[in-house]
Amino acid sequence: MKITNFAITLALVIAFGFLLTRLTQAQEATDSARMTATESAEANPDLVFTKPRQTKEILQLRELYQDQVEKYSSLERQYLISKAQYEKLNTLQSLEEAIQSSREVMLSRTDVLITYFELMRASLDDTEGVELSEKDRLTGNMINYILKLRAHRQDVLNSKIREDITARADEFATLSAPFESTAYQSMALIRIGDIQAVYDKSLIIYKDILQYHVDNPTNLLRQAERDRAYREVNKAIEITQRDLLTIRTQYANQQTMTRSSFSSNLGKALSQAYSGTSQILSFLEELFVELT
Amino acid sequence: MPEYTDQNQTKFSVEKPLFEPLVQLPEDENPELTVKVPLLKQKRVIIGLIAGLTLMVLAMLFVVNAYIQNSKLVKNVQPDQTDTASLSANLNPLLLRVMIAQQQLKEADPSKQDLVYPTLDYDIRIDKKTR
Repeated sequence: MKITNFAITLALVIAFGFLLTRLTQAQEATDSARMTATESAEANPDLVFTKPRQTKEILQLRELYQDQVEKYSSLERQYLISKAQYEKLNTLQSLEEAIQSSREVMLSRTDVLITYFELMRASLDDTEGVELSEKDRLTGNMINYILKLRAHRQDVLNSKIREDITARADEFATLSAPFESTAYQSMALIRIGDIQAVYDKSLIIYKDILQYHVDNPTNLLRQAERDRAYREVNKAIEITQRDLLTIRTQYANQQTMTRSSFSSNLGKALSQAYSGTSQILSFLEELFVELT
Repeated sequence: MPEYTDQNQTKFSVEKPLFEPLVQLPEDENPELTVKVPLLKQKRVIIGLIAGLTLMVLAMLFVVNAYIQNSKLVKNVQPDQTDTASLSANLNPLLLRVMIAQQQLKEADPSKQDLVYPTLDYDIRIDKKTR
């Protein structure tokens, strides 16, 4: 039995030692990676990729928004059932249930919209490449809506009888009229801004690549290749710039925007600008890798 | 040698005397004939040895495997370190910027359905519209 005990102890000691070594190595590797990332981020922020609209506020709002939409869906089902029951039975009890459920779902709808506009405002605020005056105008609109929705919520909370609920429903119809347009205008601005920001970056990179080529001259044959490539890049830049201008004009011309007008008018132009910017970046990569 | 075989068949065995002195068996005249089990053939020792050896072999295998994995890890890490270094040294940061811009563009894909206006019932009411 002594041999067995010895063997077990030996095996345990070896296993523990090994685990300890691996853990230390893993920690060292993580620390090293973290340090490299931090150092490079500090050295040049352009060399680190960060996803847009990932601030703490936006992430929290997204989570809250998801929860509120789920709650709304469940309350909406209850409201539809109780409304149908009231229409069928027409009893005092069914009326009371219909009033209560419509009040609940109205409150929930207001919560969803408040959070949606807060999320949209924060997202627009965190987007680069957006015209500042337009950003301010839409942000102002959204703050105004949030305040109005809060007041409406309080009114719904105070509404206890059938007539009050009907009055709140009428008020909401007027109140919510410009919501959709502002939402789609903000969404359009965010999409335009995102593409515009990458396009602007690609222009700066192109300029730097040109400078790099000037600093690192090559033979005549290669230089001719480079020149032909520059012409293609310039052409792609010109086309994309035109597409972005078209988008801005279309955006400015639309006083009101709905889901369908957003998709049909802006959607196509945005896709073209997106493809154009993608083409420019592919050319730049090729220009640097193949012709340097 | 005392006679134990009781011929009286009317008596039961339980009635036999219990406290009769034990009968001393005669000592073995040839002690060498007693079977001695060698240490290595004893059951417990054999099980112990097998278990011990198995654990030793397992431990050895574990150590060898760990050593192989370790060397693999080192081999894998080395090019990474070279890559990281080359990002700032050998590979021009310009190329890295192009790659990051491409990544950003992927995030800007206009076909993504993000932040869409919520689909809600904008006409919640029990009674029909009054105006």
